[in-house]
Amino acid sequence: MHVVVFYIATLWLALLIAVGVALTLRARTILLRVLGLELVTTMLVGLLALFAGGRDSPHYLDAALVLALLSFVGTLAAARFDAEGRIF
Amino acid sequence: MLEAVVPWVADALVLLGLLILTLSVWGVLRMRNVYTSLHASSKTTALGLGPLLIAAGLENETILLRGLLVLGFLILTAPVAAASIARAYWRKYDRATRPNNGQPETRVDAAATVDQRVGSPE
Repeated sequence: MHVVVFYIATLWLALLIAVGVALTLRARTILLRVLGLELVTTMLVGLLALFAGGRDSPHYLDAALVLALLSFVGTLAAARFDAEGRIF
Repeated sequence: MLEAVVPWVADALVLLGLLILTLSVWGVLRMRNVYTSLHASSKTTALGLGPLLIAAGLENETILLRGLLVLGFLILTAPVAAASIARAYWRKYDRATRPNNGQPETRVDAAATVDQRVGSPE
């Protein structure tokens, strides 16, 4: 991709992450907060994919994979704990 | 010829992915209900990250394969996470307001029977 598009996309994703963080902080319930955190993680995975393409290095995607895995497990655990008081 | 087109295709895919991710955030901000917010966020996760990951790997095969790995994992896990959030919200807030405390009334409601068998804290 071209450098201009790389910079614009990075700035735009940073803005989206800021919106997601504000959404997480101002959420009314815990489950909305979990949803906001999942949204922020999605944006972070997108940012890491963008950097992998822009810097031409596949190592960013390792971090993206780990982040997606941790977000999935964390969402499951937090949602279950909030509703039922236990995880398992 | 084909090599000259590849960066422009990557640009278009990046902009498409950004558009879909923006729609995702806008939908979560716009919708007042948790279920509809989940509807906006969960569907756009794989759909918005897919173009970004493919655009990153158009010029490098290693990045493409690793991006497809991440994408496949996201496609598998995003619906499960959204369903767990919706299920937790229903069990915490909406189940008590249902008649008969959310218990199935007829044998037609087979999914709720399976749901009860998972177990509750009390």
